[in-house]
Amino acid sequence: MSSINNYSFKQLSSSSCKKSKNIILNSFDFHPTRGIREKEILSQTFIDASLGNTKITLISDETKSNHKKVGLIALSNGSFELNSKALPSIIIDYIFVNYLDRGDTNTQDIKISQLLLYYAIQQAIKISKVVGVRYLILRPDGGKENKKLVSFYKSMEFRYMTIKHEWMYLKLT
Amino acid sequence: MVYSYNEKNEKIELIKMPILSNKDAKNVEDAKVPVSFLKNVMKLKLNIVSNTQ
Repeated sequence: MSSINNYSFKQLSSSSCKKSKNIILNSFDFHPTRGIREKEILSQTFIDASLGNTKITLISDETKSNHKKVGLIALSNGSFELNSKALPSIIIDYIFVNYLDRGDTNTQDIKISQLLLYYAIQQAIKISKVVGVRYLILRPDGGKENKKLVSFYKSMEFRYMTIKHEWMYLKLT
Repeated sequence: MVYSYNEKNEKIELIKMPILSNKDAKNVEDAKVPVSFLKNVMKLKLNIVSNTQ
């Protein structure tokens, strides 16, 4: 079983996203039924990353052969409107965990998806020290019906903005 | 830039950023994240390799 020290986070430049898109996509295993959807969104995320619209960070398990890539997170910045004001935020554009590694934990009992969120929170807080951002926001895929996913985000202190909105937020300051 | 499938489940589409009304504002503005949670997250030593070409 890996420790969290065995996972490395590698930030990809826009040119590596362009060059390595297919290699990386083909290295992943996708969900048997939702795989087409996952791959299509991931592919679009790489296109955005190659244009510099989002930043992808890969997570690899260094104990596995070839430092196997087990997931990624894509982050960008944007703002949402609250009380007629645009509030600067870091957006979690996409979180992906390799299908065969979903649910895997390590010696600290932390899932890969949790590690990716911890990475996002750390980066967002660091950015908030030098740039005005107040929230880390995301939109759970599948919406509120996806209770398992929503419950996971709630356990990570994300909350729904309102009953009618599908977006969740974590306040950074 | 967040994507999801459209209502007919035919193709992916870009999701617009949320617009919250004055009525909704208070909850979001007044939200508090437990300080201990953020402190514990910041204490985790993640092995980050920066800006790979």
